Amino acid sequence: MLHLIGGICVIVGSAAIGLQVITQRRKRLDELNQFLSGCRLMERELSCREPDMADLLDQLAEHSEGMVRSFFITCRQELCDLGSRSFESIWRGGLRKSELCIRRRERTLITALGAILGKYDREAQCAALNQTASALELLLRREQAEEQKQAKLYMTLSIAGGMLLVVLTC
Amino acid sequence: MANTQTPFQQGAAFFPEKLRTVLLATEALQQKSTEEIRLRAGRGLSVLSAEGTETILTKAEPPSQKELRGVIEIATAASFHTAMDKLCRGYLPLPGGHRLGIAGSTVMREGKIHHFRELSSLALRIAHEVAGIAAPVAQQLLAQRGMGCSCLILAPPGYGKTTLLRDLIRMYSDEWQLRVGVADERGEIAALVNGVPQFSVGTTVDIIDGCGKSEAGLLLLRSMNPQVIAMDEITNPEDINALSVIAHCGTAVLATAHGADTDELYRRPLYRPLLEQQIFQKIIRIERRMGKRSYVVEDAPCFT
Repeated sequence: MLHLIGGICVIVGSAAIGLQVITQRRKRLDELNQFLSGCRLMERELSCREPDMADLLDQLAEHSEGMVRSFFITCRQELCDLGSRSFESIWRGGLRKSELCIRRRERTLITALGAILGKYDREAQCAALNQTASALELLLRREQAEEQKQAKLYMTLSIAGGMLLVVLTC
Repeated sequence: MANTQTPFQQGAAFFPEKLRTVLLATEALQQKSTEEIRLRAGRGLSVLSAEGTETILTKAEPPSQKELRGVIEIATAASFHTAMDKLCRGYLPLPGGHRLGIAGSTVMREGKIHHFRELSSLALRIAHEVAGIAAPVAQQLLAQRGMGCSCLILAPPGYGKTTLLRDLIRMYSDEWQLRVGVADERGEIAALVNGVPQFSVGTTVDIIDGCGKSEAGLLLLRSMNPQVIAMDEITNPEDINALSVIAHCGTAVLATAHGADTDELYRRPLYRPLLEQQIFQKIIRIERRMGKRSYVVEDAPCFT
């Protein structure tokens, strides 16, 4: 009986690990999606209304959630530090502080935006935002296709791994 | 920005930390007499006093292009795109009524300055508002029963026409309870920042800035139902046509023009129609003797 309970626990545990990997991947995709929407929102706003950075960050925070929202809020709050820090450093620091799931490549893309936002004219900023959005979109599409394929694989592998462990230990 | 700060401290706050420290380390007397803070790439940070003397503050470590861009970033709150147009047309009005002007290598598009590729120097003019400067003028206007009438402020450059106009607008608004529309082409009169005037121009004042005086004046006339319309420095025939339309619609006008007296004004073809059409009832002349300003209010002459 004890063996049976132990075996079930091992299988459930390994399934949970698989589930966590899947959740983490989905969270990352969601963050990527939010950054993509953020870029599109900034591009739209800059070309139509030309709001200032504070206004833009407020809107971004309003239209996002989770860690992405907390990143924009951090940037907005630290905007008053201009003078002792540049906006680029505020943006980079915000990315570092927020516990985002995005990977290094995506982080590099978003970090690079900080060097352009608020520093150049509207056209240059819109062009940079469009470029970043396109790159994020490409990554997102690729990751989404991969995720659909791999979600089942991760789940099957983790359960199978758990079962194998049970068999081996018995 | 806290109100307890002196105008100099407010101005210094637009500079990156390193330069701000240098500025705030200057003597209180020097800070008080400073009219402009100037920053030149590869040269230095300096302050310009009211007497016109320029004191270089950082010779040892000349500021770089990065520091000049840093000032722009602070002044625009990391929103260069919102300020570029104003900077290219002259200067950027800042909170507190200060003004930031830049110089450097420009990029032209369609015959106009599109942006600055490189910055070579910038000047931050510190605002020193003189509230109540129009009181003697108001007294004379009251004595001559000219309250709320159309006035032209006449003086050579540098005599304080804009400062007097601003305080006169405040008096028309706050003391005589008139609705005043201000055509503030370059933001010199009210210095709007986020829609809020940085100078005290009165509570019943509506302002349009960023476009030509004539367009702003006529737009105010149509949209805001003003009793008085004010504009600074009449410089072209369109301004005079707009003033004529406004005045003949029963709205009083307040304006300024370069010139020592009405005879000089009449001799200049541009301004002659102003006097011939009898747009103004009063002429306010600013005189300066021994460094002191005085104001003379007189009836506008009738030239026909």
